[in-house]
Amino acid sequence: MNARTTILQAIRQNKPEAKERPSFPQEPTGSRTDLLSTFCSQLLTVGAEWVHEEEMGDWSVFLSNYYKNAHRIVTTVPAIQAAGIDMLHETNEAHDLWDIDVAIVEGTLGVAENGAIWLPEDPLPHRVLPFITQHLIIRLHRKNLVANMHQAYENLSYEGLGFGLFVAGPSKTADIEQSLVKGAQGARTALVVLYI
Amino acid sequence: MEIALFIPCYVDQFYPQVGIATLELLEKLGCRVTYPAAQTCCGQPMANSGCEQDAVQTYRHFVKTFEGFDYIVVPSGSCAYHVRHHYDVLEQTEPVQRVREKVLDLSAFLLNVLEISKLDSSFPHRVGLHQSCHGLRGLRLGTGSERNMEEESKLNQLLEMVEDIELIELQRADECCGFGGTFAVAEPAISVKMGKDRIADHTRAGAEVITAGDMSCLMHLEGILRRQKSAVKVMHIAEILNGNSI
Amino acid sequence: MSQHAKKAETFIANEARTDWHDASLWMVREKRDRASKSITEWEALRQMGSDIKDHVLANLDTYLVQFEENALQNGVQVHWAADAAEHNAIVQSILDKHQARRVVKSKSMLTEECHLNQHLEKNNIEVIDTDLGERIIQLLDEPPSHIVMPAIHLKKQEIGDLFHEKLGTEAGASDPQYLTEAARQHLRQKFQACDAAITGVNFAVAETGGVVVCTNEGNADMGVHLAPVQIHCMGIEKIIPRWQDLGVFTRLLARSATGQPITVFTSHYHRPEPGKAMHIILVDNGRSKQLGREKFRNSLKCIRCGACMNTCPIYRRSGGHSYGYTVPGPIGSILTPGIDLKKYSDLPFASTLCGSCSDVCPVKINIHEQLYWWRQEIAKENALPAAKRWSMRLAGWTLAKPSRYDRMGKLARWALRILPRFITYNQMNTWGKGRELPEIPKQSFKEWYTKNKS
Repeated sequence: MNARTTILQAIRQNKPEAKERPSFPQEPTGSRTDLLSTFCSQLLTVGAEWVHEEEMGDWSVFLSNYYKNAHRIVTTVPAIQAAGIDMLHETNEAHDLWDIDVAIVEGTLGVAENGAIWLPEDPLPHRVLPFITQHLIIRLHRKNLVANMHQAYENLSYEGLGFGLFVAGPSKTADIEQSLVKGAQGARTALVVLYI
Repeated sequence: MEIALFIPCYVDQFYPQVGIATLELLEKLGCRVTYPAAQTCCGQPMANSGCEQDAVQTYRHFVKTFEGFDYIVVPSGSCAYHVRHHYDVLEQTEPVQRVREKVLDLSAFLLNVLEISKLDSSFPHRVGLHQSCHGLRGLRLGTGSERNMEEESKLNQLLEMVEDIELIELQRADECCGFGGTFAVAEPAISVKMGKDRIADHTRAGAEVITAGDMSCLMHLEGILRRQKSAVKVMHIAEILNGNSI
Repeated sequence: MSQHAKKAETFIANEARTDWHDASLWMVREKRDRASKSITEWEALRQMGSDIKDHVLANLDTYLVQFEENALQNGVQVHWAADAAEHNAIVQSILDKHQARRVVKSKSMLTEECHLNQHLEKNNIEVIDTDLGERIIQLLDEPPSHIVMPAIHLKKQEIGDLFHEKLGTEAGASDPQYLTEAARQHLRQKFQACDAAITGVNFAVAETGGVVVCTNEGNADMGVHLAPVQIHCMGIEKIIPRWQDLGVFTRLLARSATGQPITVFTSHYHRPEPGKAMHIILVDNGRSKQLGREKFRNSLKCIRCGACMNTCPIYRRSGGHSYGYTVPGPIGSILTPGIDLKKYSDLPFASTLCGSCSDVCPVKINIHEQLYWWRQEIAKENALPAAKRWSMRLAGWTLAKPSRYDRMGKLARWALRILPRFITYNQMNTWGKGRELPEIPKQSFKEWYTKNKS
């Protein structure tokens, strides 16, 4: 008998009686709060920063001010094409990506309760981009906010999904004496640019 | 109302004053209390060691001793918890079910059955309350710091009825003291360390007296305090509620 | 003394270090308290997590088959392993097929449980653990001492010394920022050169055929997206029914584990990238057997957040290694007797049954009750130390009859009063090692009552 049959048989023999699948809470936390301000304060909690696009001024000036030592800045967002920013197209060659200092990507949904932003695979030229870059910038429409993870999953579809990601802040670790250090294996900083 | 007093075995043997305070307190509050002399123990020491089978005769004896009463009041959350939650090995006859349902920790009896709202006692000291685990998390005599619910604590509620008492605030409101029944002798190093840490929390906050709903926790803490030659005393909550002095 | 008690005693011998260990974990417990209390419906959410998991256990076969179907449709290769050996062999065969010799692995308690690293290393495959904490203990050749914070037992100076020796950092340097940066550079080299990536799985969704992996470092994704082959190893209990259920568990997991509102990365792997391969291995290794143990089956609901460890007053003062199993602490102590009752018979006793573990558990596993029930099973299987067995028999005999109890009580009190201290506080009296015995009264309560009241 193969493992599959053995395991399934053992489960059938041993499993408890059927239990109802529970339904979801009607009105979870934060459903009625101001999504934008909650979202922004959670971004700070998770170690990210945020800025309103209309207040940041010209992209290329902003980038050269805030990412002074960046040699390679790439974007996957057609709306942001400024001087010195490469539009990154689909690539299977990850070794092209190791030297990226700043990557600008578009998020499709923000979650107010935890500052997480959904990055779908489609606009990413390579799945590793949001991790391999030294610094991550996520652009997000201010309207695309939901209160919590229940609403987030309700709003997202898994149909046709190859890979998708919630990202909440920069890569972090506290594995050495519980001291929080940003920039473990992935991006060292995360900036969210909110636009309307 | 036929009220039976159950005095846990180690209280009977080592802390008779706690039994006396419980009895006096109940009588002052107008209860007619019977102390069935045939009582021994709830059987927890054996069962917590895994030897439930060795406890069955003790369980049966407990039920026989207390089956005729409306309430069985015990100054111990742990013993009440044991009877209520762990007498499953017995056949669930009517008397067994009745006894399990009617056994109450002193604080639950005072607040839920007698519904007292004031006490005629004074205790002009700084007191640290140790929340004994079986009362707190087993019987839900309080919320417990783990849970996201409105905070309440029966023991606090009762102590607040005592005049002149000053309740101190702990850094860890309800961490276990490390007694744990036979754990205290099977894992002595951790048990003592846990006790020392609890005591440090109380003394940092300036407690003169540590109180609790369970004398077992206090026996353990007292053992460490006396070894440390500390001036801090332990008193069962019944003694404070009864207006005993240090 | 039991194995756990001995190891705990050794651990506690360094009291300052014990205090440090206890305080580190208590801080995490406090963060968890704050995070959980920011959600007004927290208790309802726990109930829901628990109910979904109950529902899964009652339909585990159906959901596994549904998961497999959907995963296959997504172009994922699904494997089934009855035990650790089968699991390791499957991983090996996948690696062989792809001629992979350099593997990066993100945190997976399952592969720890199966001793996958040792198996692969024996077969000349390099396995690099990429979670910082895991990498540290791998370099030290130690097992993890915690399931979420594997190196929580180590001081930064020790990690500094280790990195100096193994990664060439400056001697004496112990700044966490500096050491993390060194590990980052070291691990980025390993990611760049890897042939395959292995990850654990937090949730596998039957409805989608995809798996979800939660990390803070981003290490799982660095490996998965850079390697030509991705392998996800999971226990069969990791299944959840629906995409929507992820909403419940992602809210519970990080808040319970570290007090974060969510892990930094929550990655949903559904299909391999074109030209690459994705494998999922479903592992039983005793889980279907545990499912048949009515009183203990809901230990399988565990989502491996580690909250029960952080809150456990014994774990905090004895360290994860005192338990001698991959998953230490309260949850480990109810899983292990089902694996080897005799070997782990001391673990259900390494608890005061304080119940804090059950109250922090995000899926409401009644851990402390199961500890109590395992104790009964262990006694039934004659796996108790003889002295304990016989003293309990004697206690049971004494306490069953009032006449015996009264006589024995009187005798004991008399003996404790008159015997000299060197006898009452002998080597066998473990109570007396750090504590005084109670002052013995002349009269029991019963004697007082008989004299004064009746």
